[in-house]
Amino acid sequence: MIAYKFLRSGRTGPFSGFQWPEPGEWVHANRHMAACRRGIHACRIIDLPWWLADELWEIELDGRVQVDEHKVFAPAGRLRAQIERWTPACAQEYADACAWRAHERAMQALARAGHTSAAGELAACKTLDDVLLLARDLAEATPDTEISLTIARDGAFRALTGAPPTAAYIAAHAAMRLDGPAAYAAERSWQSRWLAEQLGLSTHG
Amino acid sequence: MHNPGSRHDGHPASDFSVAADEVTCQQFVELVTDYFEDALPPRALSHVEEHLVMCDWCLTYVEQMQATVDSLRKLKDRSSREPSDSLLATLRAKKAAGE
Repeated sequence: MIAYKFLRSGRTGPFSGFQWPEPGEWVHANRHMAACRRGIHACRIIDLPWWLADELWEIELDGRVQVDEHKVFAPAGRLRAQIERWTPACAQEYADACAWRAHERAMQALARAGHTSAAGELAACKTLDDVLLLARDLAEATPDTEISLTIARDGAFRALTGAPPTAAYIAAHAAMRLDGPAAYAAERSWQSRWLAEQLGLSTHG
Repeated sequence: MHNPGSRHDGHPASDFSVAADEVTCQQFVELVTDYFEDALPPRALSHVEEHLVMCDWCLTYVEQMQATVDSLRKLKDRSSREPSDSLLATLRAKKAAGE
C-alpha cells in the first residue's frame, strides 16, 4: 500500500525520534522497535490533517496493513519520495485557508443570530489581522455569538503566528460549534482534500 | 442542528466542546507520566500524540519534562558511581592516621 508519512526535519519520527533511513531502505517494526510500538505508522489522505509536521513523504507499506483511528500501520515500510510541494509556504497557505474557514463560521453564527450588520462587517475583512481585531470587538458587542467569534479570532491568531495544525484544529471546532460533530468531520475532510489537491497527492493513499 | 431559540451561536459548548477522540490539555497533563513511562494503551497514546501535533504549549511542556527527566537520570548515574581511587586513598590515609 502506498500511503503518506509526516516527519520532522531530517527524516525524524516526530514522537519516536526514529531516524528514517534513505528512501528505498525497508524498515521492519520488529527489528526497529523505536520506529513504533505497533508497526510502521502512516496516513491515508483522510488522515493527513491530524499529523502535520515539517516533511511529508510518500511511504510504501508492506505486510498486513491495519486501519486505526486517523492512521494505518503495517509491519514494514520504506520511504519512497519526499512530497516537495509540502513547504513552509504551503503550510502557511493551509493555515490561512483554515483560519478563513473559521472566519466564515463566525459570519454564519452572526447571521443566524440575527446580527446581519455585524456579519457584514466581518465579511468585509480583507486580512486575518482584520479578523483578529474585529472578532474581538464583535465578541464584546454580541455576547450570544461570543464563542464562535472567539474561535475565529483564535484561528486567525494561530495562522498569523505560524501554527498550521492548530489553525486546522480550530477551524474544525468552529464547524462543530455551529453544526455539531458531523460538521467537525466534514471540516476535517475538507482539510484533507485541500492538502491532497495542493500537494498533488494521488488517491491511492 | 442549530436551535434558533438558543442563547448560543450553535450548540451549548457542554454538548460537544471536545470531540470524543480528543484529549484536552488538562487530560494531557494527567496522562503525561504514563506517556513518559510508555504505559498508555494504544488508543490513548494515539490521542495524546494527536494532541501534541496541534498544541505547542503541551509540546513545550513535554520537552521541559523530558529535559528534567534526562537531567535527573544523569544526576542519578553520577551519584551511583564508585568513589574515585584518589578519594579512597585519601580516606584510607586518614583512617590509618587515626583521624
